Amino acid sequence: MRTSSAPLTMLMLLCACGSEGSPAGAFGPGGAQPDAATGMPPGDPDGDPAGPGAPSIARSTRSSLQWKRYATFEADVSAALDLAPDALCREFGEEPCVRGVHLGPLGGHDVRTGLLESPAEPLITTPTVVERVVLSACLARVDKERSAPSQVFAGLDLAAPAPPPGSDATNALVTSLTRRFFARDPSTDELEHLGGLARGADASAEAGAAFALKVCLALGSSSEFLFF
Amino acid sequence: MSFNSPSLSRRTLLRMASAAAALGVFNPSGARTEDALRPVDPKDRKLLFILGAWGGASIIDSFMPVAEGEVGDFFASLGLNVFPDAQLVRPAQTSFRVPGQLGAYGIFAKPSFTIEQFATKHGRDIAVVAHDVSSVNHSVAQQRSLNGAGINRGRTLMEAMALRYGGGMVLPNCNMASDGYVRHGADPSVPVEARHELVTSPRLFALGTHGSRGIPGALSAAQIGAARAARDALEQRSLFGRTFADDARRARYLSNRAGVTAKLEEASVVDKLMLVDPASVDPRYGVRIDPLTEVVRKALPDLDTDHQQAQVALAFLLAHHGISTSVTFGFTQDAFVTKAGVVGAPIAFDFSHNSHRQAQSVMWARTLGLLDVLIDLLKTHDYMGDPALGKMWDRSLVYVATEFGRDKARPALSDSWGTGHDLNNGSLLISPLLRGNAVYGGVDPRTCLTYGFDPDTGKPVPGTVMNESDVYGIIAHALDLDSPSTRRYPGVVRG
Repeated sequence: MRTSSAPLTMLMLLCACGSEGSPAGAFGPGGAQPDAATGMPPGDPDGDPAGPGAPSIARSTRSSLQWKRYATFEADVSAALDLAPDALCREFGEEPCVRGVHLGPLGGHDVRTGLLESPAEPLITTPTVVERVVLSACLARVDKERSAPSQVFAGLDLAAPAPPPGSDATNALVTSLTRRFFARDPSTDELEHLGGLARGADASAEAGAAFALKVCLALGSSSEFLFF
Repeated sequence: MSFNSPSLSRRTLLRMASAAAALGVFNPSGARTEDALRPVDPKDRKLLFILGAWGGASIIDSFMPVAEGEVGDFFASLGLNVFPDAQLVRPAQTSFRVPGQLGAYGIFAKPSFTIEQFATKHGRDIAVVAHDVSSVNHSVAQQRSLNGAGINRGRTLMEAMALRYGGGMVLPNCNMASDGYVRHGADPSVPVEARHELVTSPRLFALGTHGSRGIPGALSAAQIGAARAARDALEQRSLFGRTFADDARRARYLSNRAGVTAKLEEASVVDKLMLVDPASVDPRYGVRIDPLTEVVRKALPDLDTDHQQAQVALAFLLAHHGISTSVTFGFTQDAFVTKAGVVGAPIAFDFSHNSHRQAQSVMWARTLGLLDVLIDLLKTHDYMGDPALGKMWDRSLVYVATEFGRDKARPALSDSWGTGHDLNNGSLLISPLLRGNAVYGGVDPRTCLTYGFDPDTGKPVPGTVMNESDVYGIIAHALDLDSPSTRRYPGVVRG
């Protein structure tokens, strides 16, 4: 592994400087205090994709996100949607997606086929395969709602047109799925973006099932669900 | 400039320095600028097909056999892996001798395809290279057969191919093999785009190139697009997204998703690579098949049940459609059984531990039978379907990679015996880019040990020992790969 000494030296010098002594020193000159409302560092002078009003977030500078591989991914999707693992996805209704057809892209291994070690990194087809598994699982959940309704979709009437974005019902669905996939509440921004999926490109109401599927797909195939 | 300058805050400098340091230690693309994939005109591309002959495919049981009468000592010949004189045949218009079929195959089905048939048909493009290897460990030796024992900065042949020709291809390097044949090379500077894409299920691999095709009841393309757009917007705006915006692994994942996934779907790769017979699948799955695949299915009629046939089919399609420049496939440890009997030995060539001669005969027949179909397809189809680009075969090289040879000794007078791993062997290369119809090196009939050759003239030189780096070098020379540590082999390579 190659190193570049000049940037490292500069980094060390900068860390050594600015020793104002405040634990928040790294968040700004003079160790500015965090935002009282959010607990987050003060505004980022370089701008923020969430908009000028959003609380500033310190980027992780030494992050090493791990990739959720096949068994964990399968377990988490299964838990999020209250489905048995083998009900999530089968290609052509027969071949298991996670532990069979797409085992390699999902980071699996199988001594019987000679795949002795899991891939170290996501493959090129991993994002597509993740979408397939999530979409199949979401569809399986929608199908199951017809015979055994649950609270996965917060009681949304899947057969009726989706309620308007921003309504209690759409917010409840987004909140339910966000909690199930991310174990947290959605932000205002997320409620707005995902609630907007209740409408199609022509602004007409999507079917309830289609709305649920779109939100389910968007959340389940996001990097926040796949990495930790 | 002071650290407190309003135009360049200390936080900004910290971030820039840390990003620069991170780039120096771990480039998100893993590559030096000069090693990034550069697009190559299709007319200049080459194709490499590697079959991992798992378990030790012995060259003296195929293209360099020794006759009993050549040993020069009758009693010594009884204890060597040699063939009765009458059992060796010389295929028409070739310079090889190969063993004919055995009289009995024990538990195995008698092969329907022979080494002789293969040599007769493709002899002019066959180059047999005698060499030693440096490990008798399966996994280690498999890796070394592909990376030349590290001769080219630890890069595998497939990575070198992707770096040379893979620019602009969506999946330049695909690998369906197993064990050590699916290990990446040791060079960390190789960009991830050049590392192989693992294919677990060749028959259904096509489905992994599309996010929704083949899923009944799925959303429309517009609805999926809307879901993706909402997701992608939130990736940038969420707390998680903003916190880990600089994470290299996540960044690469998002880049692939935004770039390559879209390309795969827009190019309908799913249809081009679909191997399943639509008539065998419920119409609600919406399976469509490319007309070329119909041809491939006819050439490989058992691909629905024969894993290796499915691999060959996919390898051909990946190359034909300009998706890959290098495809690796090969045997696993599973036996393959048909109504005729066992046609693929359990643990492949390594079944030689139990029954050397039968295992070698059956597995060489299976290997060459598969390659015969592949080469026929390559010879009869234009690259990317464009007559101006010529037949695929004109730009192809097939390499039968294997770990090692097998013991040269046998229990005296035995017709059936077991062998262990042996460092001495040879490799089979098939390509019009090589000076074919030739054996490079020779075999000492007193010991059955092979020896090497002069790389400049191709003439055998008793006592010379070639090794994995020479095989790598020959392939690198033939395919014009970037391999500064290997020499040239004008005695073996054309042009």
